[in-house]
Amino acid sequence: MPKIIFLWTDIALFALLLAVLGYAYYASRSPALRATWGRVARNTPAMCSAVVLLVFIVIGLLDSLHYQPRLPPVAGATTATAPIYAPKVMSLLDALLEDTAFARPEKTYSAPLAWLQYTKESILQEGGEPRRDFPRLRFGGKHLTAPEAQWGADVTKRLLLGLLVGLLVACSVIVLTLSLVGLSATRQVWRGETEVPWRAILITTTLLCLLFGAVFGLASGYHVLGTDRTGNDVLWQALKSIRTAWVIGSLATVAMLPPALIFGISAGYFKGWIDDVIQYLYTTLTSIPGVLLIGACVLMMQVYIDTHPGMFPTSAQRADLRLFLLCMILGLTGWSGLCRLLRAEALKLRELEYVQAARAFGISHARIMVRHLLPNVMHIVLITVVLQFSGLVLYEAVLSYLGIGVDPSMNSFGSMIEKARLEMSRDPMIWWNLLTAFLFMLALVLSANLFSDAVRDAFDPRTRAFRPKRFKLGARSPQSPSAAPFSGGISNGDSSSASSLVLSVTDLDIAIDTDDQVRFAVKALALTIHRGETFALVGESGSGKSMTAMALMRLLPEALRVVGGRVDLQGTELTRLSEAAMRSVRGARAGMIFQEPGTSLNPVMRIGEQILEPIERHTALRGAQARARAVQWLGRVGIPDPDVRIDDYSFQFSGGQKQRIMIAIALAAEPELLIADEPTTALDVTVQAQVLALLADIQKEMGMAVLLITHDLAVVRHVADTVALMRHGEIVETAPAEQFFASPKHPYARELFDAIPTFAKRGRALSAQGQAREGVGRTRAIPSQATEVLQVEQLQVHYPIRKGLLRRIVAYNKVVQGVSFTLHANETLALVGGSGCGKTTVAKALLRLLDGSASIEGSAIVEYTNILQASGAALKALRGQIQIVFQDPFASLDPRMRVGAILQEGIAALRPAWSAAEQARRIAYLLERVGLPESSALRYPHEFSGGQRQRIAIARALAVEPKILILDEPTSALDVSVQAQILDLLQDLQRETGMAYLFITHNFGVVEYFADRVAVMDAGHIVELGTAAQVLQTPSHAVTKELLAAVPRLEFA
Amino acid sequence: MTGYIIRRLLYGVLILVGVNLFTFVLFFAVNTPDDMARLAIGGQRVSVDAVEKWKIERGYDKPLFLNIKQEGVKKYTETIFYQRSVPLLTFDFGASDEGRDIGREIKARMWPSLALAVPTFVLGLALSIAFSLVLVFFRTTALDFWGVVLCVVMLSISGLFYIIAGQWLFSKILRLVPYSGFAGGWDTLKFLALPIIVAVIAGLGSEARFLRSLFLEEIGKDYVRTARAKGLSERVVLFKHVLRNALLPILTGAVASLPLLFMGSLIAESFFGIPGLGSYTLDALSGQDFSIVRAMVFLGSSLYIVGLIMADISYTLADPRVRFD
Repeated sequence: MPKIIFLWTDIALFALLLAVLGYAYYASRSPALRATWGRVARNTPAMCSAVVLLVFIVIGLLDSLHYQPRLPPVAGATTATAPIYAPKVMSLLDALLEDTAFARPEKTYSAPLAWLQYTKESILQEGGEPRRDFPRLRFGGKHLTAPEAQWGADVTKRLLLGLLVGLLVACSVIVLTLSLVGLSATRQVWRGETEVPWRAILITTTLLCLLFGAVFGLASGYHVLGTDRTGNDVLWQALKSIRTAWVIGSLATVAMLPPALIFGISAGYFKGWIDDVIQYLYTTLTSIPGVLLIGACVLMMQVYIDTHPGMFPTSAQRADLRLFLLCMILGLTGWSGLCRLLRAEALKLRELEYVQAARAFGISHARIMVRHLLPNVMHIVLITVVLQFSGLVLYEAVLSYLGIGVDPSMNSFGSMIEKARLEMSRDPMIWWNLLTAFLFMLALVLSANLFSDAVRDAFDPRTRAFRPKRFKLGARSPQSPSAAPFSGGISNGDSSSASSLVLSVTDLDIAIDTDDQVRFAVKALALTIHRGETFALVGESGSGKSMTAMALMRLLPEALRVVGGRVDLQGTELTRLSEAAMRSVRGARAGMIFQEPGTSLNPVMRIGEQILEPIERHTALRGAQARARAVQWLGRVGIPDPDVRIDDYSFQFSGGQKQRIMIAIALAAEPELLIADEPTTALDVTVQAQVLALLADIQKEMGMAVLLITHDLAVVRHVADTVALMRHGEIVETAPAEQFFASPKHPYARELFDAIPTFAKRGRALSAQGQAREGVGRTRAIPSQATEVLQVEQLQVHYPIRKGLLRRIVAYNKVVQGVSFTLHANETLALVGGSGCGKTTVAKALLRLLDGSASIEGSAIVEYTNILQASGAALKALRGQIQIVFQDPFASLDPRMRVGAILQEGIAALRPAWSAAEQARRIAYLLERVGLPESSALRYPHEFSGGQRQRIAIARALAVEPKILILDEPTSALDVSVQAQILDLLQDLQRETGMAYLFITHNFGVVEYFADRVAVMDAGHIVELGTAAQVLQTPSHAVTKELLAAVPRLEFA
Repeated sequence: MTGYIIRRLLYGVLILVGVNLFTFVLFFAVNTPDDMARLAIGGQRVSVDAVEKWKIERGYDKPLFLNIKQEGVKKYTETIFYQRSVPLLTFDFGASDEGRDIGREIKARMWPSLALAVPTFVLGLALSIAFSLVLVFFRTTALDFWGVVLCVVMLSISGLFYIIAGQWLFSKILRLVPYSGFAGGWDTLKFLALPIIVAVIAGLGSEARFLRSLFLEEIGKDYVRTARAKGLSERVVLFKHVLRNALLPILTGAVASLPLLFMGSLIAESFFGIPGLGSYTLDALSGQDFSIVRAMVFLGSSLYIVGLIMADISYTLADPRVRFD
């Protein structure tokens, strides 16, 4: 039995292998991770690289099983004596190749496939006379009796034999793979039509088999890549270097992870002084030039190893410890980059609703960081790890060259290059050493880079978004529309004549290329717009209305394409125009404004310059005249002091002003058509009214046609002449606005009208499902004035403003100033106001989510306890009484947790006494209660729609049966039909449980429909508080009046 | 603004103090001066006297932080820390373990380092931006695809190979430039041409790929869509809108790395025999001269901090959003 030696790096490498296998098992069980890795698996270069990397890994691992062979017993020794082991440590790879050319050193240099030494030497001739000549090699070509004549044929023979064996191996691998994939798929594999690029993988495998066959065939009699100065086989050294590269690349990355993860996540999560200390730490570390830092550390390590020679029994062990420590040094000096990334991500994540929800349940910081932050930053860690690997392999070469890398006795690419460098200046040159190192490094690093690119593309949502996409429609044609296309838009009758027609769209089809299929985003769309007409294209999210707008301007994102139909703009067929001709249409004959005025303007360009661009591009005006026109437009859209403000930047304007500037840009060249894509969705209700009025005004003046795209029927009611309702990519109804709102024909239109909450509909269900439930004698419970569940007195929330040298607090930003109200059981109190009025801050303060970032004063009494002062067990008990539902259904559920786990977390935190069975029963009940199937518990949030997610968020808040539920804009991210369902659900729940709702919203329709009492907030104060009827019908405060006046309303007959 | 800069400067000083402490602990606490002396003199069986003598000559015979044998202030001043670390904070680098003045060496070797580093940096940045812009302009075409492939292949090759291949091709085969060396006057050009070309090409792959993704990310933004909706041509969109936005982080990044150019390049200078600070550092590392290594660490950190502050200032000047704040 040989003595097995565990080197430090061996243990580390195999531990790492286990960790990778563990991750693979974990990933295979998580659908999200499986889907993401599936994207990597579909990437052809990545999979070919994976095959190459696999070969490198196998070689590296074979070289990581070390032992000391047992020496044959000394003659005459008894069996009782302890066995003697060879002093040299061998690896399994050494053993496998023991009798090949690899392990047969020559005396010194020999060229690839040579049979003679490369350098001359004195040879004793038979006569005893010395002669200077090239001596025969000890191994290379030893079997040749007449080398000059036989060499060529022998090399060819061995090469062909090797190739043949390689081919046989390749064939068996192919057959094996095909039988695994399924023999029936052979044809698709052959044509390269499979999802996973099996053809490319098999070609790579075949090539590798052939290469290995050829090398081993030749190695049976020659040194395939020659020998170096000490006569060692060069290919052999390269193979041994692979392990070093793996160790450096992987261990150094792993060593970096603990500090990066711990420091990065804590800095971002805790902020404050912890963040300051950690930032100081890593700025100090990064300020030291990397190579110098590593050099200094290695120097210190070297001194230590040199002064403690007794600690290392063999040279291999010493070299190994040095390698191990080098990895640790690389890790400990290199964590700051990842730490910074993780800090930034943690800063973002901590503000997300699901982390806030966890804090509202009183879950400990450590647990939040481990359960919510860590899994959600893992993609960054993974990307960094794979990207770092190739960089470190290259870095090792540099460090070894500088003499601060691995032990000189250890094989590595760096030491190969270092040696080869001196050989360059020899004449004739020794090139094979360098070439070998080059080829091996290139193969390893290139495949690692290609693989890591694919991993990054798959895991980083950002890169995925801007990855240019090639549209292969020929291969996969879109699915045919399920229903017969709605034929033709109506000509809107009355006064229309051909001359006033501005835009006519017929049979427009838009296809979208998702990852797995091509389908229609818009089907057979038709519409006509006339001069002076406002045509509203209305639909809920995903109906294809914005895609239609983009298609008209031919500005569709790369994944979408117009596949059929005509777009006629005053006689010009836009879909067939050249790109250059289309540019003369954009801005000149059709202008466009977008939903987000904040990001739609160039942040580093003066707005004047941005308005001048279309003027100079499309009109004859130049210089001062053009500028005068720009100033004129700026004034026209209502920017005060246009001649001064024209030189300002976009960030110096408010949101509404930015949208006005966008309008000026879109209209500057006086187009016949303006496409407005959700122009007021991002604006406050009062600003929305002003912008809509401005648009109508300019339209009257210029007589242009407007295509208004919106989801808001109330907006449409007041500005549109014609309405077209879209659903699932098709227009279901087109009608003049009067007619549409008076008597909608399509059931979907009626459903939408029913879903809009109004004062008149109070007490009635909005959705069809809610109306069905209503049959069971549903009446609105009268709030009992007797039981107060929450009393808020003089609540103040102040954020400190720090200024000056020492960052002292110079002032406070008083976001909430003395808010008082009471909340009764079974009652809904609406807290309304424009953006920035402080309404959400009130909610966060009540849930103690602002601890540490703001100073909070006043009191909020729940069950005779001031929740603002409570701590420890008392606070925990109160958290069971007051819970919250957030606005964004997508951010409020942790994407890496199953729904069951999300619900269980809150129950476990606040009802620790419950058994697992009780918890499971509760989860099942909650899901059923909010109208989701019980199987939902096992699914992940991304499998649900926005409305369903909001149901889950409500279920989470209900998990602990709170008396008070804070609803922070719970429906404002939802479509109106989904909003109706959620409002119905909330109403049912309140009737059942008697919960009190604090309903925070900016949407007056919802308030009118839902609230018992209304509190209007403005600039941190409650300006008016009263019953819904009082506040909404006889408002007393100016702010309330202004807000109410701006609300677009739908009146129904 | 002034307050901001002063605060950044104070923070920089704080970091330098941290760096100083860190290197001191690294150099004197992990190993004793005795270990260093033995290593410097060579071999394990060095007599105690020789070690003592080596230490006294270099002032390493004192205690690390606290000298209990002395009285008053001398308790703190008669220590290795006070004598060897505190002067660093005033950029007094002292003498190397060999006894030569480090400050003078740095002044003399700075110029060759700069002569190599500055043209490399400027040319490299310009070429990378140009190359990545070409790729971005022809995105979704075959040119972009193969350009990216080229970048990946180029960045997969170790920098050492570029130097070796460059020397082999230009010096050995074509005999256009000398292998290595350095001289003043017009000869400088002859000696520096190859190192500069090699360094620019070696860095092109990763730089251009990084810049390309930066530009592509910028192209996906909303304001670019607005620019297209105005009917501007792709060229105007790219150069007037995208480039202007994307250049901001690129330029501030460049400003941040400007001061570090002083430090020179370890690899290139040693390969091409340029007597700059890079090869000085390398010699110190291989000669295990701790004084020089510490001095260079300190110099590098200070330059890094200067770079950070310069980047902050330039960002403030270049970005209107910050400028008007």
